[in-house]
Amino acid sequence: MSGKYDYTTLKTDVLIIGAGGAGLRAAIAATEAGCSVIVASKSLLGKAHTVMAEGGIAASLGNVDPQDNWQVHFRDTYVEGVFLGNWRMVELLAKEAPDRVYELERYGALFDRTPEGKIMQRPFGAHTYRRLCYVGDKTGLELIRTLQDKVAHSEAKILDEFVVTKIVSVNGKVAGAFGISMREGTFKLIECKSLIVASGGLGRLFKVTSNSWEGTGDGLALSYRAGAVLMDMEMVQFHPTGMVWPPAVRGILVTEGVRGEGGMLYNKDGERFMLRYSPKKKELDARDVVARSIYREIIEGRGTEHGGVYLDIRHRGAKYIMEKLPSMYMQYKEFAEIDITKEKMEVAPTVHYHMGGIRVNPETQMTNVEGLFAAGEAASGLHGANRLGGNSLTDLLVFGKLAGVSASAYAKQGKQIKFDESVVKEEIDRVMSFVENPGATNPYPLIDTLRESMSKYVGILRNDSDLNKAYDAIKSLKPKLKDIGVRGSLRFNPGLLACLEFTNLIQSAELLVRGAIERKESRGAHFRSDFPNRSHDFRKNILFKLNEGRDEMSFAAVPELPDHLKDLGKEED
Amino acid sequence: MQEVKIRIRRSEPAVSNEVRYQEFTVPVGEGMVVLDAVHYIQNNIDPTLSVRWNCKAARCGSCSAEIDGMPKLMCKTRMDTLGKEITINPIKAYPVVKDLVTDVSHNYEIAKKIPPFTPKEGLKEPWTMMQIDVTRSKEFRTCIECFLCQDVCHVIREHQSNYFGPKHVVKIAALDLHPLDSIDRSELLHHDGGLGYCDITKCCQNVCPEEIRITDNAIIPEKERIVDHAYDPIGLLIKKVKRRKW
Amino acid sequence: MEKNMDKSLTWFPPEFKELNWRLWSFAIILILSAGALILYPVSQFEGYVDPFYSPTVAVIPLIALFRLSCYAYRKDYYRHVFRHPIACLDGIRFDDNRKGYSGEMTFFSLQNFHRYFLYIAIVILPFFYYDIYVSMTYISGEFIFRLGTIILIANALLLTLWTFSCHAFRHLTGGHTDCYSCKTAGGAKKKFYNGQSYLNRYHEQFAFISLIVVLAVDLYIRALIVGWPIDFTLLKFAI
Repeated sequence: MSGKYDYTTLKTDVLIIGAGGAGLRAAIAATEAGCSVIVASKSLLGKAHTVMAEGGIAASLGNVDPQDNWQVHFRDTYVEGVFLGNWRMVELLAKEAPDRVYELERYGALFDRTPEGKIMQRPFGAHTYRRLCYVGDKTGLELIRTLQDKVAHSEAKILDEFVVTKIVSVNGKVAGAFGISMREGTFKLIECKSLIVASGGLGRLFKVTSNSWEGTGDGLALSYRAGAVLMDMEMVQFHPTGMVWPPAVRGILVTEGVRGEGGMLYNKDGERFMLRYSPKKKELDARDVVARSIYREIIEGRGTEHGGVYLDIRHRGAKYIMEKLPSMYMQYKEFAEIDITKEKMEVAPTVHYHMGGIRVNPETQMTNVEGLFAAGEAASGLHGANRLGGNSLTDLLVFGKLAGVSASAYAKQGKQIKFDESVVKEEIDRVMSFVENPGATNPYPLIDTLRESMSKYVGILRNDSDLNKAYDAIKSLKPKLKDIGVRGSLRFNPGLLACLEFTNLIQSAELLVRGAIERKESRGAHFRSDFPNRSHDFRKNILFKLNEGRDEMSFAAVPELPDHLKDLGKEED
Repeated sequence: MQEVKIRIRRSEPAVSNEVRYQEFTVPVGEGMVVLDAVHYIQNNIDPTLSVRWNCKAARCGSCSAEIDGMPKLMCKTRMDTLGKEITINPIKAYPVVKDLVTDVSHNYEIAKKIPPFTPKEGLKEPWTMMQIDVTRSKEFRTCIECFLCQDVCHVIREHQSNYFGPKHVVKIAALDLHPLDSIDRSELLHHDGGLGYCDITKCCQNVCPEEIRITDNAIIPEKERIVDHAYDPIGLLIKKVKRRKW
Repeated sequence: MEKNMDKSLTWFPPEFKELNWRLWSFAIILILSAGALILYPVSQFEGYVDPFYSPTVAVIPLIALFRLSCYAYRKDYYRHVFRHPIACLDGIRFDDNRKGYSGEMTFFSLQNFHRYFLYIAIVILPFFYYDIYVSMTYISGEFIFRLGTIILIANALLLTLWTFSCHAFRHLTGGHTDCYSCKTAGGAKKKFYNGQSYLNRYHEQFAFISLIVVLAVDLYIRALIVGWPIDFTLLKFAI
């Protein structure tokens, strides 16, 4: 029909990769600034992983607890991130959260209300006050629908079911992105003046995860190859409560809202063990603490037969549960045939979030590559070593907007960077090699091997020998990259996607494990049983940068708190 | 381990007109859902089998298909509720892209035609809304856009008309019932939206995985709103008299 | 190939379980009662007023129109008479694009006057309660409570439930409101709406059962006339 190197070219001011909360919020900001915008997304519009966010969005509105304010929100986020976060990002988050929530309401989101008619707020792990604005247990869905509606009625062009395979950068400046339109089965080049990566995390690097299909660390690997610095890659959050049984649904998230609404954790002996691990905050301690406690109970033989612990919300009564946690009720009813109003849930930790990611300038969200921006889970620096529940949705709105504003400002000044067509041809060759290689290896078993060893060796409790086993596994998988391939065309070819994703996964996995080996301390989500204490020497970020084909690791000290925040983020040890 | 035979409709209309049903044998484990079986086929038998999926937790509404003729989410349909032989078709109301993936972009075109949320003027910020006023709209906001209702609706599936379809009536009802919204979209639904084509046979309500009472709570109330301004002379009269009083 | 698929599914019966019995019994009841009313008119017997005559046989067409334009019955005959479609399941839908279809855009847009028949039904409804009173006091100076009265009570209650679980009623009393708290007594209004919505869930069932009971009352009275000894007195005293 046509030549191998056929592709179409689109031009735009701002290209956004990812149509989740951050990507859509950035699109709104960029179109409002008068830029032309293309939003490229691997999934169908409105299906992004943001829809899975359940509990709520953290903002110190003080509607329920009037004592709450941005300073407390700052302190909670910064301290629970174990002093690894970037203070400026945390400050922006805490200060702007209420505005972004009210703005979302003005866009048409419908939050649950207090008796006075204000936005209702529920308690959540390690938040001092009741701070999470919510819509039942479907806050993420409401957020994305609202933004989706806003974007649909704007000038932004949506390019969904489009897989970006390469971010083109020339001499440290971004020039565009290249990828496959899955629906059309064709290649497309998008030339842009600035580019925002809002592509989410890498949860699908692990076997037991709450993350959906997209979470393969694509944005991280693409930006990394385009020259961006990755940071804190070892910081992977385990959500304390994921489903356990039956095996087919292992890892599906059980919202923290269950504990927020009063759910209690028991081991198989009926002991409410959180009283032992965290007498003060109990079930609502930070996620790393609760996840580790559950994990300890399980490995020390006090777990259930399926390898979990019990989560009990029955005392709240059927009516309350159905009203506040309808999806949880449905989820257990459909998948496990358990009626949570009458029976206990079985839960165990599941990989949930990646605090690490692309290093950005906190004032603009720009990376070290000029014109390349990052926002949301793909970016790093905000959550430090541990993310608080509800802060991710806030993150999306606050930094999605910031990225959109700065990317459009950059695009207005900058001009389109030119580059040689050979870059595109090279990329076409790379992608086509996966479908033109008749004797190729099926990538799926390799991905399974990778995911299994990551889950086994890079879990909640890490140690040097396990991490090295994972590193060895990655090193032995890496040479197989050049042999993988599938049959078929470019049109909706899951095998081809698996090949592309495997390349990205293994890139992220390697950096993640190297970071974890290097961080010889325990901090937040990163817990080393051979170095169980926090070390002041490691209050720094581990950075990776690709330099002429080699991964270069370096350290950067965490920026010191300025005077006006010093008292809030005091380290007491 | 038990084995189940799965027949899947394979086609790629952009390349050829050929349509075939390919049969796969899949082992079934405990709690397995249809999507797991499709994944098994992808991973072990045929990596080119196309399927759209995201969350595998019945939250995103991507994996819609017709399982034994019934529109369902593959991730929410357990294998043990089905027989030993299963047939999976893509949703029929929309053109197939490849295998189980269909082109649902028409829905995004319709979404653009629906006026977005437009708040009343002069509201004091932050807004005050009462819980009793948000609950009705909330039911519709659980819509995961799986388009199963669109698929099962005979007006869309078997006939041609301008009817938006149940999913979009749900969206319109969600917006109309927002206590601070200032637009009545039932007029649009009456003219451009072709709601009159709906004959309330309630299939959409039957298949909704979020158990939204689409017909009873969205379509019929919107029909009644249309009656208010298009058919009911007494109602119109009362409205006019009332307006004069103000 | 595709046709074979459809055939292989036709034996699959879940949708057929939901037979059109409701619709067909309505049709049969309509024909039988029309025949009976014309050939063997029975308006009342020993204080029992036949519901078809309450208050007068002349309202029957209006009530029939109320039933015909009811959303529950509409669903039934659109599905089973016009087959648009019979069932939701692929393969047994019996609807296709060769069949003309205009939904409720042309002739059936008359359905939109359902609320007017509702108004009439609400006006007629008290007569059924009056009939209960009559059945207990038809002998002057005496109060009498019989089995037939219980049936009349059931009849009146079911008709009430059916009428007030109507979708049009739901719209008129609360459904048209977007903001309850903006109205006077909004809380009570919303509560009423919620209660009515609860009844509305069972509207289809009420629609059918109430019809059966109307017929049952008619047959009961006819049975008494031909002398079946089924009625008995529960309570009787002078007033």
